[in-house]
Formats: sequence, C-alpha cells, structure tokens
Amino acid sequence: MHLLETDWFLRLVQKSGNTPQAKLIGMFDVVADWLEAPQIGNQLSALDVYAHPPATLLNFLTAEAKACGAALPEALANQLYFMLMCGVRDYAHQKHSLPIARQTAEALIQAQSQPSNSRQPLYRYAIAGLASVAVISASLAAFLLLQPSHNYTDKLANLTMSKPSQASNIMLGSSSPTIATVINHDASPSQTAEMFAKIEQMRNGSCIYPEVLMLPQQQRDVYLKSVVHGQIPTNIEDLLLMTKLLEKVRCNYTPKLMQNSVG
Amino acid sequence: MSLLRERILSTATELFFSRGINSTGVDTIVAEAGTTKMTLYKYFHSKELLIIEVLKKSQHDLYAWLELGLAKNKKPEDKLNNLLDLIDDWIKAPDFKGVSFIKASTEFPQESNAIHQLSSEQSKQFKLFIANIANDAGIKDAEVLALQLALLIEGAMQAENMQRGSGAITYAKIAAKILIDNAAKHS
Repeated sequence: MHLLETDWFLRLVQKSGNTPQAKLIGMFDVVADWLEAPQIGNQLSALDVYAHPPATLLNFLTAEAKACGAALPEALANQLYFMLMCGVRDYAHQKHSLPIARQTAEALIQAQSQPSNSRQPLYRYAIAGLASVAVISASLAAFLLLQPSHNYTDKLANLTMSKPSQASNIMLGSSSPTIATVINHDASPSQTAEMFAKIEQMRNGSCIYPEVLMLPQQQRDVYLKSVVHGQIPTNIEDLLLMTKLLEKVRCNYTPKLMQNSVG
Repeated sequence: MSLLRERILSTATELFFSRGINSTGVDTIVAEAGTTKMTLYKYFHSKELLIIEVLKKSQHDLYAWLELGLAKNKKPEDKLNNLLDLIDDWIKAPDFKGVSFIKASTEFPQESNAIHQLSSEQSKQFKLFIANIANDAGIKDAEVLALQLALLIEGAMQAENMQRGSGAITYAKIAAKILIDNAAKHS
C-alpha cells in the first residue's frame, strides 16, 4: 500500500489544521517529520514523483481543495501532490526542498482560492449570520439564567472595545473555563452584522487583497477564512483580527457606482 | 544533419509524444518514417540512443523558442512574468503533448537508467534557466524562486498531462506572480 494513502497519514493530515487550507499545507509538515525517520524517509524517497497520486489521497486533497473554495479542486490536488513528491525527491541532497515546495503550495492555494474564483451566494451569508445570532442569543440567555448577579453586558462591551491582544489576555487570564469565559469568546450580533455588511460591500467593489505570504503565520488562517472567503468568525478574537486585516484590503467602488448610475 | 536522420528523429518525436515512448516500437517508427530498421540503426545504433537524441532535440527546441519569446522584453524583470505567459501559450496550444523530460522520467523511473538520468539533468537545466532570468532581474534568492517557479510550471504540466484543458496553468501563473512579487520585495 502506498504510504501516503494509509489511514495513519490521512489522520495526521486531518489533525494538522483547523481549516482546509491549513490541512493542505499541513500535509507538507507531516511529510517533513516523516523524512527525518530513516525507515519511512527511505520509503518515501523511493516513490515515483511522476506517478499518479494514490486515489484515496487524491480524493482527500480534492475534497479539502473544494472546501477552501479552489477554482479547480482536482487540478490543485494533483499539483499539490506533485509538489510534495518533488520536495521529497530532492530532500536527500537539498534539505530546503520541502519548505520551498510548501511555500509554493501556499501561493498556489492562495491563487486558486481568490474571492473572484469562489463567489458565494448571498443566502449563505444570511444563513451564517442568523446562525451566529442564534448561537450568541442562546449562550447569552443561558449565562443570564445561571449567573444573574454578573453584569455581563458591561463586561462584553469592554471586551468588544479592546484590541486583539487585550482580548486574548482577558481570555487567557481567566483561571478556569467558566460559562462567562466561553461567552466572552463570542462576538456581539451587531459586530457580526457589521462585518457581514463590510464583506458584502467589498463584493461590489474592485479590491486588492494583501498577499497571504506577507502576513504572519498565525494570521493567515483567519485571513483566508474570513477576509478572502467571507466566513465571519463568531469568536471575538478572530473577529478583531479580521477587522485589522480588512484594513489592509484596498477597495475601489467607483466603477460599480458609475455602472449603476448609467443603468 | 542528413534529411533521412532528421525524418526518423521527427517521426520518433511525434510518436513518443502521442503514443508513449515504451509503447512505440522501432518497427512503427521505420514504417511511419518510410525507412528501414537498418537505416535507423545506422544513425542511432539503438532505440535508447534514439530516445536520448529525441530528448536533446526537444530540449534544444524548447530553449530556442523560449529565448526568442523572451528577447522581446527589454527589462529583465519583465522576462520572469513573460516566461509564464509563454509556457501558458505553449500548454494551451492544440498540439501540446507534454514536456519531453517529464514524459521520459515518467516512463523510465529507475535512477540507473541513462534516459532517466538525462531527463533529471534536463529538469535541473530548466531550473538553472529560470534562475539565470531571476538573477538578471535582480532577485536575491534567484535559486529559490527558480525552484518555486519550476515546481509551478512542471506541476501545471503534470496536471495538464492527466487532464487536457485542466486550466491549471492559469492559476500557476497567478501563484507565480505572487512568488515573483514577494521575491522582488525582499531583493
């Protein structure tokens, strides 16, 4: 059996990230670890770079590529596999071959999942918005019932006004995971709605997005998921980070407005 | 070069690309070229040497075509982006049947094989070709960028080999632009 279609490998890749993008990239990290193990490394190096990818792995990669909004999921899956295998082949005499393949894969995933490639229907935002509001309302109600003496509204207002670092400090600072700390992770309905409106507005403009490679590693997942794909986070920390990242997107709405006035 | 030798070479190239190298016998090549086995062996001695000559000529033709296309760019930095446009044109051409060194590597995976060794060498030369363009364009890590672009190009060609009209090169070009811009910023 091909080493890269074992349940073991697929499970490790599944665990390597929380988003489809992170999993596709995580595959390179899993293989990088394996190459350090002599027995597995030798088996991997012996694989034919140009052979067709094993079906199970190709199906897995295609599904993840689809989930991250790739324009051509199967082609992306094939290319990522090829890049991975090239990295493995060259690893014996070029230790940086796998990190280079990883960087190239990141750029290709970014290219294939540009917003223009995966315009999502408006109803998805509406459903996501309603779902977030429902979850937040239910959590709020539960909290108020269980802890009537706490002034939750003030606490939430303070938190939503704080910067990302402050927000994370507040959350990390709590001694035990109480209901309050869980609720404090959620964004307010008005913030979520505001963010939906921003994303919708951007869909009507011509926007220049910053390159994902230019962002710090820890911001990339949030950037791709929220700013690029328009999935509004319900987590306050991510929402604040998204607000910060949105400032880096430059949009021009003039041509659309002109078109509307002519029509 | 003798006209007959040239005809055998071009017939073999066409057949290797359309039917595969291993599945094309010498009998088919001589029949298509309108010659005899004796003449083929007079010029090429063995099928292996014929394959090696096909690989060398294909590589030579590829660079001649790329050099001609790239010569139109006055600025070295424009050559990098234009390289991907040329590859795009090539892949989308109706008669595109793949890249000789990728095809040969696929059919001869054993590292000890002379054909495999030549195709590996040609793959390295291709990276060097890109690295030289990147170097002229003032890219600091020209070698790294060359490896990245070669991965994108070869990956798109591989995807195209698996599914004609895959469109993979379109996104490889966008990714290449991201990597080129990023490398230029750090140079």
